[in-house]
Order: sequence, then structure tokens, then C-alpha cells
Amino acid sequence: MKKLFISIVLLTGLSMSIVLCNKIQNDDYMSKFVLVNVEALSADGEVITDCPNGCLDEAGEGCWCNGWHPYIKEYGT
Amino acid sequence: MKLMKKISWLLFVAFFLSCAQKPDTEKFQKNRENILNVKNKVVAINFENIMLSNIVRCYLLDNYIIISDLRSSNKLIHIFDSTSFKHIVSSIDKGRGPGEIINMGYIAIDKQKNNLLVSDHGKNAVFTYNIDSLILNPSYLPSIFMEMRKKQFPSEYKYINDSLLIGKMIIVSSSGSFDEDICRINPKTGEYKPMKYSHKKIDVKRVSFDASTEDNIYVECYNYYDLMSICTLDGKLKYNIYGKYWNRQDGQKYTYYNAVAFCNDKIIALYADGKDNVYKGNNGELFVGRPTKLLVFEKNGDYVKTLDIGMKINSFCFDQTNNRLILVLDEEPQFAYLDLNELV
Repeated sequence: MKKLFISIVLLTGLSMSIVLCNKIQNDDYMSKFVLVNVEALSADGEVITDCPNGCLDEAGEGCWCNGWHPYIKEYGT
Repeated sequence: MKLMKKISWLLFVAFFLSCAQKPDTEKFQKNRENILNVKNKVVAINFENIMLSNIVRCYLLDNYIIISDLRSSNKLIHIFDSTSFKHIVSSIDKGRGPGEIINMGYIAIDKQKNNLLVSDHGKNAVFTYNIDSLILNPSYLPSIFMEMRKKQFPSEYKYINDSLLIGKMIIVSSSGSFDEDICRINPKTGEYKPMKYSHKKIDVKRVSFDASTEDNIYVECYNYYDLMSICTLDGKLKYNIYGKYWNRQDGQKYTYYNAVAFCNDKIIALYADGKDNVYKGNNGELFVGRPTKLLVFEKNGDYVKTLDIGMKINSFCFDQTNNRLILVLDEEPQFAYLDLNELV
């Protein structure tokens, strides 16, 4: 019984640390992603409120982010 | 009764064979191995004394190269002689006033009238600028060619006549994502009609396209699929050209085609060879998988050769007068040309 309890606690701890680690990585990733959006939009002076596809500060085929940004690279899904 | 049984079997076999045979429209090109390394034939262009940003496009009209600079804070287009590359004039101010452009987009060419059709996604309109007037008269004002809707508009288009454009429409959904479709557009009314053919296996459609009125066809190349489709101008499929990565089907993870143009009797397309669309560098910075190759096809989609430029290419335009490609590169030099006379 004691062994089972210890196993459950260990497994729960392990899964929680994995989830937390992923979240930290994703947050780091998202901060860069949003940052490039800000860079892309600052040229037009617009404010980001909703930008599902995301834009990169690079030449591309166009990107929608609160308006059309011609020849800016779409980040993609 | 036996005869009926035999006929049924024959019909079954015939049906099976007809299903197994691929229709003439479908072309699979797994081996595109006629590769020419042409890096040493790429010649740098020095557009004297003109500072340009990294978001630029090139267009050809008559003997002029038009460079549009979307990040410029003052003059948005620069006109050069297409043979000597000598600067002729810089024009169109950025701004909200008459004749100014807020958010410049695509520029289409009306060869017959020597006009540039310039999209402004800030004023939601396409303006007509006569190139001779732009060069001669600094205070020249354009006229409106068409009005655009804010969430349904052409991002690129080919001028056919005053009442018809073939163009790529952007249709923005309520969630803010958008779809692309090649359409017939009436600039007088703003109405558009999607082409009849669309490939059934495409999920996220992002395409580059070009249209040829001489051949009555348009070509669309998919950014996220190893596929090029050639259709008639009324939207009937002629050919689907599948590359070796067609079966990947990985959303927007990989990139294939980036731009395409009819160049005399050939189709030339920028090809990224299935690179990662966007990837992270060692320090977490994001990079774009740029194409370094040009694929050359016959107008029926048959593969001819690959021109390996060996440099990262953002876009290109075709200079018909000099039979060469003007390349916009993602590295130094920013502009270069490739003479096609001995290559294609």
C-alpha cells in the first residue's frame, strides 16, 4: 500500500514537472513570436489586438494582422 | 446466364482498370535532376545612391524596372532604366494626402496604356499612375481604378482589361485567419468569382500565381504543398504537377513554391525544395526557409531543368526585353540579374 502511494506521488510529480517545463518553453517561444509581430506592425503604427496567423518581420507573400500587411511573411499555423 | 456472368466480369475489370489509370491531367515528377549550378552567372545590380529596405518588390514595364519599397518613409517607388540600371526617378509619397499611399501593396502593369495600378490597403483602393506622367510631372495625381473591400480584396492581380482582372483574392474570416483563391475580378463593380477548379486535398491554400492571356492559362504554385496547377482562364484544370514531397501534407511546416512567372515559352518558379518554412537558430531567433532554386517548366507543366542560384531569393520579375530575370535576394547583393539567353 505504501509502495503504491509512493509510486502515485512520484508519477504525479513527474507529470507535473513535464507539463510545467513544456509551459515554460512555450511561453518563451510565444514571447518571441509576439515580439516579431510587434516589429512587423510597428512599421504601420497599428496596435495588435488579434493576430491568429502571426506575422514575421521578413519579406513574404502577405500577412493579415488587424489589416493587410503586403509582402510580410505570414508565420503560419 | 454464363454470358451475363462473363460480361459482368469484363465490366468489373474495365472499371478497375479505369480507376487505376491516372488521368492525363495528373503529372508526377519525382526526379527533377537536370540541375545547373548558375551562381557564377548571377550578376549583381547596383542601384546607385538609392537606399532600400528589405521589403521590396520588382516589376517591369517597357524599359523600366520599378522597385516598390514598402518600408520607405518617403518615396515608395523607384524607377530605373532596365538596361543600364540608371536611376530615373523616385515617386509616390507615403501619406494620407491626395496622390499619396498609406499602405502600398501590389503593383499591376497595364502595358497598353503604360499604367501602373497601385494597391493602397490603407485607402482600400487601387490607383492608376501613368508612368510617363510620374516621370515628367512631380505633382501628378493618380485616378482611382477600383475600390477594395477591407476584408475581401485582391492581394495580387493581372490586368486583362478595364473590366477584368485575374487575381488572388484574400478573404478574411471572423477569426482573423484568411483564405486565398484565384478569381476573376470585375474592377468596376468589385465583384469576384472564384475559378471553378480547386484541388480537393489542399487544406491551407497559400499560392503564388501568374496568368498568360496569350496562352489563355494561369498557373498557381502552392507555398505549403509540392504542387503546381495549370488551368484555363475560365477555371478548367489542365494539369496538376506534383513534386516528390506531395505526400508530406504537413500543414504550414515546410515550404515549396514562392513565386512563379510566365517567361516567354516557359514557366519559371521559385522553389524552396521542402525546407522548414520557419526555423529557430541556436539563439532562438527565427529564420525563414528561403528558396535558392528556380524550376523551369514547359507550359504544359513538363519539367525542363533546375537553375540552382545558390543564394537566398525573396522574389523575382521577368525582363522580357532583355530576356533575363531580376532577382531580389535575401543576402548581399540585394539585387541581381540572370541572363536566360543561354540557359533556357
